Amino acid sequence: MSADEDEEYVAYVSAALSRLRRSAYLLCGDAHRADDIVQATLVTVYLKWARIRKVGNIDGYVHRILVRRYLDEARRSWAKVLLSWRTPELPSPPGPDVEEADAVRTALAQLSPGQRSVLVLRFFCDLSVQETAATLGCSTGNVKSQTSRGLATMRRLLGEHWLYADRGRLQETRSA
Amino acid sequence: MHDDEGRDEAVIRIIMSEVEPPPGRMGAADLLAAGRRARRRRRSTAATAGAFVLSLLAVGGVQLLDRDGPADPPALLGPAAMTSTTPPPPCTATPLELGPKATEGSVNAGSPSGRYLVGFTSFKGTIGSAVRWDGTKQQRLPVPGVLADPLAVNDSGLVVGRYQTGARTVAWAWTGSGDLIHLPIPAGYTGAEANAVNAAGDVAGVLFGRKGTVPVVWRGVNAKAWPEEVKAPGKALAFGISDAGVVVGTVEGEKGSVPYQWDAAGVGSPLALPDGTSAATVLGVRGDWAYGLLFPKPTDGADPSAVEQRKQAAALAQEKLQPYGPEATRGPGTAAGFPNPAATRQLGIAAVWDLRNGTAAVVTEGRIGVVNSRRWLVVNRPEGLAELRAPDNTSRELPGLRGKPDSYAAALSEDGGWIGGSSAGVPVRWNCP
Repeated sequence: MSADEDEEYVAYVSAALSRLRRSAYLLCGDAHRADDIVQATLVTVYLKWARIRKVGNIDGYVHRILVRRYLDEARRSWAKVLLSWRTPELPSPPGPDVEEADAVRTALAQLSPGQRSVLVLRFFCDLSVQETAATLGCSTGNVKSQTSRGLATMRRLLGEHWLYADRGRLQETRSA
Repeated sequence: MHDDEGRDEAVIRIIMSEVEPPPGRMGAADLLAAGRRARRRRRSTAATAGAFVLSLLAVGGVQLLDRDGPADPPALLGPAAMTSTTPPPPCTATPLELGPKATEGSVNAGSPSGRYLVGFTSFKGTIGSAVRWDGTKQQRLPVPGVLADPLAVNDSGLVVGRYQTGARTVAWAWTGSGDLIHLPIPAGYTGAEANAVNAAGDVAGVLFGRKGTVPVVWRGVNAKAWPEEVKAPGKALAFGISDAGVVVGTVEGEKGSVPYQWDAAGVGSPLALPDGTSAATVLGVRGDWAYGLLFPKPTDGADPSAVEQRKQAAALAQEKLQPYGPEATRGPGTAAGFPNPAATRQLGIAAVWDLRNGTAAVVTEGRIGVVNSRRWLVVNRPEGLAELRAPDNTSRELPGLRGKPDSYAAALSEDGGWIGGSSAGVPVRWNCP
């Protein structure tokens, strides 16, 4: 790559890194693993940068790579690496914020990788149903059904957290 | 759209927007450097197939295994008879049988002979079924619950693993026929998992209790097999057991996790933490070799600021900084001596330990999928390609299916000729003659 292309890549990564990490974290529930997925994604992006920089929606394209990476990883066993992610027997650090974040993380972990990917792509990455289907290589009907099941599961698992977020949303809507 | 669905969608947006991951230490400079290394490696591999690829290097007080470690007996050379002047034949990939209705899958582990592989298959991202392959032929395991993970298999075909039921993790074994065997747990514990099995059928794993985690060895696999708790100076985890009965894992210390081994009598001792590292975890063992991850400590106790990272990135973009390479790694024994220090602090550095003398050596560019007793490694590189590395540091890339540059390896036979993993989302077995 030319020095200009390297600079462009650095500028893109500097701007996108935080959001990519959050997407990966929502998908996998672990910071180390999220960093692994993001690193693998951005190395791939670097190797294809000459082509990717010309893509209209770079973020969408990169998220597609990231989600594929995540799904690949999800099929492999990370059991040996990250015990804390998968053992609810282990105590969590105290504190309401941590507790709430843990509740969301634990609830997301109960979803299938497909449902989790659909929810993150649609409601964190703001992709449309069509874009999500294209990213995951499935039908729009499948995205809709996974969305519906995923939302129902999250609502059930989060219980009070869900109601609290809903109340906050209603209050904001009324005061707007 | 149904009103409730629209409301749910609004709520999930709020909930997801409020989840913050712990701070990361990867910066644009690290990622640029990683990208450049991957590009150089790709060119280098294309130009000189089978040529020397740096894999093990010395760091601080850690011995360079190739120079100072015990000599490998000649009988261990096997496929390493390949030399830099005679490129080895390429490895070939064969997809494993998926079974009815399955569209994808992956291998988690394999037996030392290479005959058996274990992993799972699934349908389009749904929760998968635990599977054992004999050669390429699949057999589904009768594992209930979710997250049914077979984690190890020995040459008798004995499979061990875990599954989740509600909030409880259950350790199990399967002998190749009949029902699943639930491995017993002592009173006072709420769950367990079985992570490794040796040739004798001894199973190493972890007990979960309110006070933390305790390593355990089940002698034999039946519902009456008494679990022997392994004494450790703190919360600990066991991830591997050798045929000689040595258990490896991690003990939680004040400054982070400490790599640990327990001999066949249960006597524990820490493994080397090289200069410049503050924590490590051991993930498996075969023969006298264990593998895992090292975590470098910060050079000055503080992370580089965002501004500093941006400066480093800009300097790298202008080629004003030397890229990290083998020479740069022979530093003064601090984290700065590692390749890409900021990123490796967060992500960890792959390492192998020689259990005969406790020394460690680091492996550049990737994570170790597994090591065998002859110190052959499979390494999964960050750009998504796996390779087989021989003790003499020659390496062979494991090709993806249909020519795609996508491979991941998790199992390796003792002769280095059979490897299990995945490519393009399906389970694969490679043969490297």
